[in-house]
Formats: sequence, structure tokens, C-alpha cells
Amino acid sequence: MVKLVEIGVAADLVAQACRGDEHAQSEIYTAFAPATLGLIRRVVGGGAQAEDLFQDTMMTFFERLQTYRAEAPLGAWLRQIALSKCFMYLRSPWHRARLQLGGVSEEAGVWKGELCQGSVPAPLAESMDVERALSSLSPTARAVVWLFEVEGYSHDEIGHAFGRSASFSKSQLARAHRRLRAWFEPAVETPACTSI
Amino acid sequence: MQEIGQRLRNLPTQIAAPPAFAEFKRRKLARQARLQRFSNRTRLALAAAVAVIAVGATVIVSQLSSSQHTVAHLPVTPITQLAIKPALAGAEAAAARSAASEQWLAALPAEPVIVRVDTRAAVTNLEDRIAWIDDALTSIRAEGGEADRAHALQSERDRLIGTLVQVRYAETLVADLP
Repeated sequence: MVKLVEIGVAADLVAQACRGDEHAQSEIYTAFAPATLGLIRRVVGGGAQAEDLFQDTMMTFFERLQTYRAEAPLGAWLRQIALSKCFMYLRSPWHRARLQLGGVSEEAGVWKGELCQGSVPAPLAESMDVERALSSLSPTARAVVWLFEVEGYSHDEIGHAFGRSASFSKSQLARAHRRLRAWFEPAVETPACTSI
Repeated sequence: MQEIGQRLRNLPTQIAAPPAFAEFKRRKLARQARLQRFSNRTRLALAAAVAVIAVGATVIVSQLSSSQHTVAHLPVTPITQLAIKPALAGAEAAAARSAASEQWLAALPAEPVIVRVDTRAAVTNLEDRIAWIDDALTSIRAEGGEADRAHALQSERDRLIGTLVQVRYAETLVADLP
């Protein structure tokens, strides 16, 4: 998996994009868009919100490109923009109200399904299972797990991003791990020992 | 725990195809147009709200000032009531008393050194009413009609002159106090 921070683009391409060259902008967009949309979808879940946040992120990215000082990789800079948009969305009262109206609690995610078995090729089935497991988590827990396990955020950074403490991140992560373990390793029903 | 992390890290980067750059640009323009429309609408709504508030304030202020104006000219009502009173016989005597009072008022110094705000307001109010009655009397006499109304106005004027004399007298007494 190629992470957003690992994607590199030539400095002169960035300079051309800053000058408003549409071709350069298009190339940069093509390089970063898939990973950006993937990150946003994994943090906030799929659907129209992810599409909106993606559009928002890329618009902000191109608007602010002239202020990019190349102190960090461009992908890291874009990731920061995308994640701040996601945090704003996750923290917004509107989002919380929508979750409540939709009957989704912070305890349980939006979707539950069965593990892929049989007809699907093994690597693809594995990915689909992980995606489904991830989508079974609550929005906050999903974001915390992804940021900690994949993006390499610390508990302090995650707590700060959500306007909470590091303990909040730790407890969310522990709960999410429990749920994911239960997903991947369902409890085997052992036959009761009965004495005859 | 490590295994879960590893599974997550092994997920592919792309889970859905992003829109093409042309589509991204189209959506960007559409969004900017929507924002522009929204901001125009907001500006219009703000302007309308300000206009409504301004009109409301103007109406309230004009109503307040007209009510004050009405209060200032309240003597009209008692005058019409006075007109039906059978006090016309003593009108000449009242006019004589009024003339004497006016002479006394004219002999007073124009303004005492120490002025009390409430007394000054009462004096000003009385003087305004008297001036208004004078105007009304002048126009009635010029038109040459409504003798009853002219008598009523004259009586009211005499009464107001009497009150003004009392207030000014009290004022001079207070001013003379050490």
C-alpha cells in the first residue's frame, strides 16, 4: 500500500502548478487523488460525505499550493489538509446529529456482514473482510484505529485532533481492537461438558 | 493487535476511483457558483433585514414624536369642553385679570440666576401652550368666525397665564432664598 506521504512529485511540476498551469495541476491531481480519497474514505467512511470532503480537500490544496514551502513532502502537506477536513467533519455537531437521526451510535458501526468465503480470490477476500470489519466500527473508533495503526499518529496527537485527551484515544483504540478481534476470530462455541 | 495493524496496512490505497481532473474542475466551478449565489442571497437578506429595521425604527420614532406633539397640544380638548360651560359672562373679568398677570410677568427679570430643570420645563411647556393658543386665536379672529371657540381659547389662555404666574412667582421666591 502506497501511503499519501510516500508519493513524490517533481519540484518543477509543483512550481508550474503554482503558476496556474492546468496540465501540471492535472498531473499532481492524478498522482495524489486516489490515495487522498482512500484516506478520507477510511477515516470518515464511504458515501457522499467522503466525496464532498475529497472535493473540499483538493480545492483547498490547489488554493493554498502557493504557500507550500517544501519543508515536508507534498503528500504529507496534503494529508494534513485532508485530515483536518475529516476532523472538522467528525467533530461537527451536524455530523453527530445526523448519526443520531440515522440510528447509528458511537458504539456500533453502520454495517455488519459475513466474512468472504468461497468464490472470491483470497487476497481480495482478505481486503474485503478488513474493509467490512473497519466499517463495522463507529466513525470515531474507525478514525482512531486508522490514524494510529496506519498513519502513525500518537495517542497525544489523536486526542488533540479530537479535542480530547490521550486517554480518549487509548480507550477508543482498545475498544476498536476488541471489536476487530471479535470480527476476525469469532468465539468458537465449545460443546458443554456434561457428565453422564 | 499487531496482526490487526498489519491487516489494515496491507489494504490497497485505492478503494474507489476518484473523479477525473476535468470532473473535479467542473465540481469546483459548480461549488464556487453555489457559494457565490449563497453569499449574494445572504447579502440581499441582510440588506432587507437592515431596511426593515430602519423602516421600523423610523415608524416608531415618528409615532413617538407625534404622540409628544399631541401631548403638547392637549389644551384643544379641554377648550372644547370649556366652550360649553356657561362661564362666558365673566369673560371680560378674566381677560382683565389675564392682562394684569401679563404685565406682572413682563416686569419680572427674564431668567433667574439659578434654574431648576423641572420648573424650567413646566414654564417652557406653559409658554408653548400659550403661544399655540395665541396662534389659534389669531387665525380664528382673522377668519372672523367661531366666537364660542375663541371664547373657550381665551379662557384657557387666561387659565394658563394664571398657572404661569404662580410658577414664576414660586421661582422668584426660591431664587431669593439664601
